Amino acid sequence: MRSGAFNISSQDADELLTRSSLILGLKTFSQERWTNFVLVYAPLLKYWIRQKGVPASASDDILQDSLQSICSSIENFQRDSIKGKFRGWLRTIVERRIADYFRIKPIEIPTSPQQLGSIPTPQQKSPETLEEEQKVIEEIRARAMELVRRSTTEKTWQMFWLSTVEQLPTAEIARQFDVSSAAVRVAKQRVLHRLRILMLEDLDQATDPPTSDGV
Amino acid sequence: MAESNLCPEPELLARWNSGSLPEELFESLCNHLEQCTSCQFRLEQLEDRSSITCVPLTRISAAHMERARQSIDADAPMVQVVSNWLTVLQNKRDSQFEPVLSLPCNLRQYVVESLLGYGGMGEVYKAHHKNLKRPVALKVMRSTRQNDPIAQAHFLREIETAGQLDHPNLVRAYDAWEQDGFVFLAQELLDGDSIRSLAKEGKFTCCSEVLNSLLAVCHGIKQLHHRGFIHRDIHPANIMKLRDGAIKLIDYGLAVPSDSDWIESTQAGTIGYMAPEQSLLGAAIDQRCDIYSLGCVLRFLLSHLPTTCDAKELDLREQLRSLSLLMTQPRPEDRPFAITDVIQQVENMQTSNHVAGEAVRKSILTRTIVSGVALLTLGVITWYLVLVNSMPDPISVQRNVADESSSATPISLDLKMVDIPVGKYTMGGIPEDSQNRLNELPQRSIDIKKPFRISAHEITIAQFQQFVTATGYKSDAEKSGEGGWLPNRRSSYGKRDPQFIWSSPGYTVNDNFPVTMVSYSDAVAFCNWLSQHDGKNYRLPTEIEWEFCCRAGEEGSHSFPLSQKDEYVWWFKSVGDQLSPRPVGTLKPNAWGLYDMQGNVREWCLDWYSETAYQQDANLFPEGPPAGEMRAVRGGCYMDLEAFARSSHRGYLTPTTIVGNQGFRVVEVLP
Repeated sequence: MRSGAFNISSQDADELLTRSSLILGLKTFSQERWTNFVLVYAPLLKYWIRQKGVPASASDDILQDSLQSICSSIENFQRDSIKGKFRGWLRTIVERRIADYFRIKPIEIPTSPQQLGSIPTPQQKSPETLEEEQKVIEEIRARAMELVRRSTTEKTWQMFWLSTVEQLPTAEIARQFDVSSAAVRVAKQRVLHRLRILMLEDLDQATDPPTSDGV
Repeated sequence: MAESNLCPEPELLARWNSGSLPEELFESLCNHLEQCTSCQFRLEQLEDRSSITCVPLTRISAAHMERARQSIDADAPMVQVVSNWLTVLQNKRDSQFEPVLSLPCNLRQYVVESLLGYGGMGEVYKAHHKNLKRPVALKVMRSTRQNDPIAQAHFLREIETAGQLDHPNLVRAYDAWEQDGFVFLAQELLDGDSIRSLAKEGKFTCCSEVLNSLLAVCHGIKQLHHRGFIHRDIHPANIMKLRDGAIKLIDYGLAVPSDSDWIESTQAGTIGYMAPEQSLLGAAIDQRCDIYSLGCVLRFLLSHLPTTCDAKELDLREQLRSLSLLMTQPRPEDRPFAITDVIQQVENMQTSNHVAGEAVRKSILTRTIVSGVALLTLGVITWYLVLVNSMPDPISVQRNVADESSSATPISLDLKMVDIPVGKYTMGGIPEDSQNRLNELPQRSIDIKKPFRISAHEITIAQFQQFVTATGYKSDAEKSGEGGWLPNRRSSYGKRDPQFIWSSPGYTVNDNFPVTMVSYSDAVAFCNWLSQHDGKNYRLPTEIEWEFCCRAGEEGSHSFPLSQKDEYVWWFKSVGDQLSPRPVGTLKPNAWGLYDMQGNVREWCLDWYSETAYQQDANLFPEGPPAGEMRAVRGGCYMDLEAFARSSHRGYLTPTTIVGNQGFRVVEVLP
């Protein structure tokens, strides 16, 4: 292109720049976001570990190993994230750590590593499993909401809660709080926005993502 | 109306509504929606799309929330264990730094002498050319980042851009090559300091210095633009002033060819200096975004000039200020079209004010012995090194308490001014206050190093009347013919009427009422007139000054005993059925003899408003951020609820908005 030795093709450059525009808008992951992540998602990680038949004595270790893996790559994930893939990505990490555990201790457990490699897709899950999983997902949503509530003013939170959970009409809430309807919607979006940040876009994911993509 | 410029495009509003707006735009749009009645109306025409997102949330009950609360608390020990992992990892990454070169060494035709500095992305070495003996700054892309294509692209772009430029006001690139998997760039070694540090150290003392620097940068930008580039990241840290007085624009890490398709899709720049269109994904940008950023630089420099009473200097400052306003118009089409237009204006100013062209006072640079190019931006991280400690001299601070007997000295206009001593205080919402908003946090320590004076009262209608009588001034509400907004019980904006102006705000007033229905520029115009009238230097208080005065030494959430609130504050409850301000000074003053700080009418402050202002070092931005959309507003008013009467409460308003519950008070800057 312009200066001899350091050419990059314009196609490469376009790709790079598209990516960089995503990255430049992001802040680095703060310690606060990390601890919030742990507080929100711990029940789901524990559930996955439980589900794989890991003995209770080892589950804390695996949780810790999983958290370490997540910690060292969550910034990269966030940078390259594709909306809706977060839970699938987490699950892959947890399952790898579970597999590590069974590889190291093959004698102690009755299940073969091959069996563990076959992960049920959503279609194959039994109704009981689905129901249990749903409960856990509700738990992490409630946790995320609780964390947001703790750092939101009472009024904003109430407007959000009445609108979203109790599904009162916006106009009615506006009347109760003596504000405009627009103010109610702004309050609601503020809370939803923080929930999205806390759940790394996982919030809008109505159904489960396909599990382990075998990366 | 100028503020409508700031209203979001329909597409942006739709994205907000569907919850897909990027983090950096979200907060400012929410703030705008809370303020702008026409956008509120627009919003009401849009279907509330968030209900779809919320479907899963409807299953969450109060019982779920209670369980979540308990289980979160139960997980506290685990979180304690893992909480510092991320920090440990990040630190470990930093400590594993190993320089690319072991020194001293020879690299091609260069003798590399020392490491000037490094950042997350690269290193800068001091070297000199073996034969030419020319000193250079050698930038190296760090090995651990070699596989980071973004950083590499930035670096390569910088090299490409630098290679095509040759101008005394642009940093020169000599050579670039790839070796052993590293990319090297040899650049002119600059011996000087950024104008940001220089301004902060008070090394710009008058307008002519500002003019000269501005003109030099303009010439550099002119070549950049003529060669078909847009810099996109002009800010005071990217402009170096060398020891011989030369000005250099550096760092082309974000520069792009102006004919490129890239421009439309990339978002980059420095917050506070970035043109509005740069922060909108998908918005087309052109050379006028550099003009915007340069306008912000100009404003930054002006804000760091010492106060003066010299009429000629004041006049020149006013001209430069007008120019900076023109350059930073929100809409590109309202700014000068080309940098040559700016050059023309600056040169005209120089001629008409007989400012010496290249007169650079070398003495102002004596304290900087900086060497180094010192800037290497790769990707997100900008870092530069200053080898000399350029910290300001420590200033000894004494803690004084305002003395009631000596402090209140009446001056002209019956304007009662109160002496405010130097001192330290903690600014921001106290941690235990549940009414804190995020914009009041975190708390930060403030050191008021210079005494000043503040008016004991909000400026009254009688005082504003004297200004209008003396000057024939027409307020913004009168000029537009649209009047201001009068709040009512239903809405903080209420209704607008051409009749609502400062002298007839829509409620019964007399001379001693605080003046309202004034825009930010009306308030500034009053201060400027008052300065001329008294031969002193008046302006609006900064947020830092305002809160210091409001607290009057009181560290809690309020400066008065809460049980006696109605004796101190005109607020929602104390005004009863008569929803309007009251004559100034009818309630008790705070400990420093200042009246109506927390109530009666809200007050304009000097600063641009930033939601995250308190995350910045207060020393860097004593007058608030260098740019913004809203002006800070402090104190509550006659119709505000509890939360507004707290000392730390922060409000904001677009500078052109005119409302009946907002006025101002003035600060006198002491020489």
